[in-house]
Amino acid sequence: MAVNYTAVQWNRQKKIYDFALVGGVALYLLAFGAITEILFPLVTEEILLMRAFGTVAFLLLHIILCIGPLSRLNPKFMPLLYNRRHAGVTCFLLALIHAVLVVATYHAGSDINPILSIFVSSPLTGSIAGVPFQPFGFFALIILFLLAATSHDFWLTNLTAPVWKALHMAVYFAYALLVLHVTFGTLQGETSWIFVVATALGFTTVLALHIAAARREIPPDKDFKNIASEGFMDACAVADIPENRARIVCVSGERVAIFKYDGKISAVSNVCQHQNGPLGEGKIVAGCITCPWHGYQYVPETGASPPPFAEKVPTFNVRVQNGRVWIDPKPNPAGSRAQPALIES
Amino acid sequence: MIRKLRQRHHRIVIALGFVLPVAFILGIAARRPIPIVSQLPSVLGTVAQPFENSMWQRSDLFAKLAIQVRLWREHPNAGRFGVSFSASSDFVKPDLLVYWSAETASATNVLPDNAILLGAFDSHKLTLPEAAEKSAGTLLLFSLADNEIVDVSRSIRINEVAK
Repeated sequence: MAVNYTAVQWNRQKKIYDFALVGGVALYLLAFGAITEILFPLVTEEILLMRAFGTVAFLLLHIILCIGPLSRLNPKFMPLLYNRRHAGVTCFLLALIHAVLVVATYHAGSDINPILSIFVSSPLTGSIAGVPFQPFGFFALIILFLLAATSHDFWLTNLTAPVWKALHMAVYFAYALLVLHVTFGTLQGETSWIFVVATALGFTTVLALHIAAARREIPPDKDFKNIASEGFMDACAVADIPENRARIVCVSGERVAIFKYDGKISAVSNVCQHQNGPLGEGKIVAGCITCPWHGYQYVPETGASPPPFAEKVPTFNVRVQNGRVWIDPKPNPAGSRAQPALIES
Repeated sequence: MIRKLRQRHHRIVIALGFVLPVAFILGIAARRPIPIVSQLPSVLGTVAQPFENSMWQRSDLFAKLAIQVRLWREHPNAGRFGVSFSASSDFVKPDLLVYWSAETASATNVLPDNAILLGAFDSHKLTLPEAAEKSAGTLLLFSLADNEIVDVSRSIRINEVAK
């Protein structure tokens, strides 16, 4: 949690994941170099390096894109989500090294500006196979740079989470550009089907995981239209909510998390103020609702983070009648106290 | 994530689900066949040609470059002709292609329409076309990188020399 935005905190968990990340990248580069030298002894150092860095960046982007849906499908992947931003910045740096090697090798030796050369060196020929592939990579790198540069909590706080999340969805556009970059670039000159199959397998995996995760998100997003009584809506049975956990319902176009704890029921917006994480998938820890993504905490009755932290989410008025939870669809202002409903014994 | 963004996220994934496979299949289906050395016609390959008999060797054919040209034939008095080239160790033209042209090239940098590619300028013996046995012609050294004719040999009449 943050009183305001804070610098990256290198706690033990982050250090372990960063060590694994850097170690994994280093191992891949070494293995790629060794295998390439054995299979293609005539390869030049420039080609070897640009391919090693290009493939590791592309592979890492696949892993990054899979972390989100995997976390939705299985909470065991949540720790990877916690460290995803560092992987994103690493991916950009690896792609940048690849790009610098390409420009220095193929575009820096002529009178034309090297960046301009990326666009004019492969003119359109009218054939599909002749589609210039390097501009795809260039624009993908620009997007990855924007995402890496705005990855810090400073930008998250100042842009607000919805804007920041919308901006960072550009990663899918960058990914599509990179698939085109590979398809119309290196795959045009490869005789082995291994690379074609590997690329197809890569984007099929990314898409399949996203579709599987999205299917699970459809029911909770359906508008809640249960019978209203005095402005309150029948949300669920008390027995449906596990102790210190929540049930998520969609009210007035947004998800609400209804928590059961200490013989009480409280409801808050499901959207964490930090990165819009799903509070309803978290649990009550030390009396506070704890976001499963990054551990931001809120008091269930007020929707406010415990002092000195300043985050607040809207609360909802609730009632318990005949073993059912009733909720007022009109949210209270963020941080407003809402009387918890006592569970009938 | 708020519902609005989640719905946008769904639409992006659905769009990618259509666009990426289609673009990928198009890209792979449109791939041009990649020539492999072992599948090339023998005259274009780097396999040594069966030219055993040296007919002559000359160093005066090219005016601009110090190049020695050697004419070869498959058998002493029969078979196809070939040429090979050699240059000094400080020769710095790594990308030259050798063409045969039945005409005497004019002072232009454009390859004549009837120029026939013999192969890369290296130590291999390059097979001359049958047209070279019937009429006089020239050898052209063309730089692919600079897109220009680097040098043109004097006119050669192979048959006369061979006889």
